[in-house]
Amino acid sequence: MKTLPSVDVVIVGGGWTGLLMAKELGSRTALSIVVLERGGPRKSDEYANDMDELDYSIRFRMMQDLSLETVTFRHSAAERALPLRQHGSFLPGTGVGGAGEHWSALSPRYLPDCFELYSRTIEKYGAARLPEDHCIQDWGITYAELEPHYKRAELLLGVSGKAGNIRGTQIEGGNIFEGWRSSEYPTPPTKVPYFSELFRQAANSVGYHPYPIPGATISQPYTNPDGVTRPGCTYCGFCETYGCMIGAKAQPTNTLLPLIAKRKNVSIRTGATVRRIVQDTSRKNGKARGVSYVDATGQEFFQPAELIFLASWTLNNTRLLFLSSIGEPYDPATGRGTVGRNLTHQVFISAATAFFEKPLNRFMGSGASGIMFNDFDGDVFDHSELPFLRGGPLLGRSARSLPVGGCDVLPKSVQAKWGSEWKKAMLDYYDRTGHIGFIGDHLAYKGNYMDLDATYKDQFGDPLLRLTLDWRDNERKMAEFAIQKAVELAHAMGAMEVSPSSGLKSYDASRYQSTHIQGGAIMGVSSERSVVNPFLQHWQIQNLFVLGASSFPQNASAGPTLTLLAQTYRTADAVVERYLKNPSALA
Amino acid sequence: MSGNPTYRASGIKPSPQRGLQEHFREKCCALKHSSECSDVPLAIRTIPRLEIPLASNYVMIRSRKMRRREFLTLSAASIGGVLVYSLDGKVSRLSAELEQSIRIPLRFFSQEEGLIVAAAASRIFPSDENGPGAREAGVVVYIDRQLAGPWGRDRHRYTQEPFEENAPAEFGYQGKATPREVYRTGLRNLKTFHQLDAAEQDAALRQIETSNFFSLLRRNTIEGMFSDPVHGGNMGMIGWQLIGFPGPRMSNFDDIEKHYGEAFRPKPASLHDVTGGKGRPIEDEP
Repeated sequence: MKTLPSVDVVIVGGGWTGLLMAKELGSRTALSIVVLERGGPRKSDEYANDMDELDYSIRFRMMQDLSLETVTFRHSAAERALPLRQHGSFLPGTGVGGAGEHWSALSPRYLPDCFELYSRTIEKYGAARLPEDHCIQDWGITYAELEPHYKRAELLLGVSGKAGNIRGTQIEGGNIFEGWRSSEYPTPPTKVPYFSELFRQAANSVGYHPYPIPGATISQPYTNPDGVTRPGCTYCGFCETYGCMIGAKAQPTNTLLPLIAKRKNVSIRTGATVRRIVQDTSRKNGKARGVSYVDATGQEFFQPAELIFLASWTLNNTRLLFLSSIGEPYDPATGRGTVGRNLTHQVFISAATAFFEKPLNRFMGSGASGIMFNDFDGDVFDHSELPFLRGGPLLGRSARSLPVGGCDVLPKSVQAKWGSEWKKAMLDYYDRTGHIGFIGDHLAYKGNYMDLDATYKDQFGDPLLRLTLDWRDNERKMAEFAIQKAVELAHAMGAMEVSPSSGLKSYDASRYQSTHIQGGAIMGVSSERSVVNPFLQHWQIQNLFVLGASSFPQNASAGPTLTLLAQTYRTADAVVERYLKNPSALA
Repeated sequence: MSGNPTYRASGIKPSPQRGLQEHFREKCCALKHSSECSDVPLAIRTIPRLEIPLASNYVMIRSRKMRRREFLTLSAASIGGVLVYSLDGKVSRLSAELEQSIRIPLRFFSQEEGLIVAAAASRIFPSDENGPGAREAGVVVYIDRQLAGPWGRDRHRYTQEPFEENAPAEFGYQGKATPREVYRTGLRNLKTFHQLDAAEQDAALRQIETSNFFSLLRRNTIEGMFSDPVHGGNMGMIGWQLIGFPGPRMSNFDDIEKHYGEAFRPKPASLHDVTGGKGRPIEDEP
């Protein structure tokens, strides 16, 4: 193994969190910074040719190559884990920009009570209402502490939307249930496709509070505080699993790279697969010395660094901690240990599929354009008489309408699976089908966790990460409730026929849900029950920070990107303003 | 081997202006719709009876010069007279005389396998009174290229042992067989399928309806009908026209808030039409 010249900062992973940290430290300090990204390089202008559903949505051109590494999965410790041999319930990104290149760009904030879920829930409903097997805990930060950073993240992306609560004043037309905001969204809401307009009218007629989905596919040209300009969205419909061909969707490559490219103190090494964080066993205070990685030619390197940021997505962050023997692995039998605990995957379903008489022109839209309402989100509605906690928004989005993936969605009245009758139904329904989506909380449970697999290995012979994950009654009943509301709404929209979701049974790793899989290196106020402190600093290894949604103790009812960007800003401030002056525990 | 024997279609005249859309309009829609009709898919569908030959349109031939390659010959009439993408990625817009045929070199299938797959795909997505189907869209060409490419040999799938062949569906496909192997095995059980009549073919497919092979064939037929023509299927954008999908469009900015409740059907364009086609499809990658 070749030892490279030492640098001040090494960042593992070149996605949203890693590159935001590189941009912040690179422009606010003179530190030498190296980003190690295992995928290839990207340019923001290379996406003009990617509007190809087959290569990008079906063959997953932008995702990790699973022949090199995947994860194994089982529902419970009693079951034998099997490798996910092809992409299924989530889609890990790779290459510069990571999954931030091919996201849908839904950009809502989390509800304030998410951050204090344990305290708020027992305060209102008592500890007896918490599920038997739960391991819910508070994050160690409050919404108020994160609010200024939420604002910075929205300004960075130029999020389009309509505020519903500015400093406590409720505003009609926005989400009146959201946490208070210090200001309006940076850009106005995006345009509204026909299906979403039907959704809005129906939601209004029933008395809900619909509003435009906040999205980072922006409604008009925008220049962010860093001076980076992006054009407005043209509603081509190629967002999720695609890079944006014009750069209207905020992606690390079009939002962060322009600044990073100007900084001589930041470099990005692609094709660099980090295998270990190397600890300094000689120092008593417990520090990491750097990381070891393999480059694209197979050569091994040791990169010494003073400060290390792990920013390689939920699953890889957790796996690298395991492989590097950092921290005590979580043991579900005893509840001891921290690494790998609180694995969650957001409840993300098409709650009702609605079939209409009139065509919807579904090819027009964007990943985030549409209407949603939060009347059944979080604890916005009273759960005293309900058999579950929490909830989530219902959404009328225009996304997911491309023909290969979308044409075989037929009403239950169509029995045929092939042949003339089936073909006729496809032709009839392709452009008359819309989905009412539901995005719900996933609570943390003692039996849902990660560890290393005993059987299956990666390209280097290292054990794969093993996920042990299943739904509990809380999610099943919450989904049932949401499905019922979605079906009622679909009828109010004038649907001729409605197919309710079959709901949640056992966890289905074969069917795409979302890439919002979280936990494993969670934050908290106690080193006994969390891996990192509220500044995402490792409790024991003080020069190691673990960024991203691996730190979220529970899964909230919204996409994680805006929240993990806000957290990264907060950590960057703490590092620049406090840690660099006095490298020690921030909490 | 000199040159790329993509087409042997004497008498076929290049005609960039004529697309499949025009062809169908002339052949089938003239009575009902004038040429400014932009709603071609619906136009096709409103015709009570389309005169598309349902008999085997693929004819086996063997080239003496290229013994190691197998070909399918498509009757130009059966594909509407237009084939847009050639195998080497070059764009050819060919408008054929109806009696002419176009020869397509196969990358993976033998001739017989190609004929069986073409026949089976056209029972899954048939040509009928609701418009053209898998045969006209060239679905077999699509499937052949996919199987020859990285997907067909599981280039990006995790294939370390041990395999648990009978795992529940929630774990995704856990089998050892690659798509190529699934097809090869599946096709061995469908020998002479292409020589059966339609009712017998349907009966034979019903026998294998629950097999992994059939589910793959069905999925690939959908892909070959509706993915970009650059992949070999959806010839002349037949599939897109049938369902009213215009293909990739750089901007819907001016239209997204109009046309509420009514069909907006811009003339379909492929990725190549829109961007000039600089990209390389995944099946051509190593």
